[in-house]
Amino acid sequence: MKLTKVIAALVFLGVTATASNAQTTDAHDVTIVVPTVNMIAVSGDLTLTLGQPAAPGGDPAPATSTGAQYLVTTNETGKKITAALSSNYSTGITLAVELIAVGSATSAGQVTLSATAVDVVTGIGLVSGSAAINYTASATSAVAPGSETRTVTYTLTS
Amino acid sequence: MCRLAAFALFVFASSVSALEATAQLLFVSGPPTELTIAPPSFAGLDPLPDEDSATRIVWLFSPRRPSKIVVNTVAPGQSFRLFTEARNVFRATGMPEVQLFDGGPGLDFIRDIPRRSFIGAASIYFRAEAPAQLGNSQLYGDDNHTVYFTWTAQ
Repeated sequence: MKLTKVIAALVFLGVTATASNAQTTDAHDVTIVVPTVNMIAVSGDLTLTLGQPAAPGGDPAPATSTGAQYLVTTNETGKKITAALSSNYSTGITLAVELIAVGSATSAGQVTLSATAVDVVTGIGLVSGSAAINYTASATSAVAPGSETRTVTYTLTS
Repeated sequence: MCRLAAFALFVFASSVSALEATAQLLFVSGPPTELTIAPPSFAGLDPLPDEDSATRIVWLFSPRRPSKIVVNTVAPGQSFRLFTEARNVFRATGMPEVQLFDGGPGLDFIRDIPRRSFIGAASIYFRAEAPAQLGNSQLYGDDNHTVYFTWTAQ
């Protein structure tokens, strides 16, 4: 009987020990960090060639572009795109631009460009995608034949 | 004497059963995981996911019935996407990648753990996504997950 008690005690201790060691759940910490991302790019260079006047003595026919695009990624809210020329064109030459809105943003419609930045799309936020850029170049009949090149800078800003 | 032997045998059997029933051990090893989303290669695309597979899971002394490991997460205010998958699974079957949601139910992570096997192991693969429309940590804070792995009957 004494042996029985010893065995029983050992078993009890063994079961208690294993029970206290059982572990069927474990946890692991994972942190996700998302930095702010604000990127904009535009498609390549383009040339706009004005047409002949509709009538003698009239202004040259405006030229419009097709196929230009801008691409934007932002994971912030309340952003806008501004546009500015590297310098103004000669008097009588005008370049206007319209950026189609991306996502739920708002386009300013057709805007005449100058060396001073102007809003072309507002209310941009939490979006990645692309949309069209439409340019329209015009000139008065007083402008001498030739060409002028300018850089349009688009900025994604707050 | 015969009764004593029978009792000893009973006690031994009980002891083994108790060991099998209670000695299951599950460990997740490795430092806390930090996943950092990166800007895309080109504007117009979503930020790039991040991934990690430096964490290991090990289980010892499987029970007498087939079992599995499920995964779930607690991440109050979760904003971004977290996925996980068991890879390089030893002595069980890894399930396809699952997406974890705060407070969601346990999702199958590893199945078919053989009964009465001594050991099994796998790598834990984590992947985080944060498309632009989900915002950023400055807006919503980092996502802090406590990911639970639970060994249960299959």
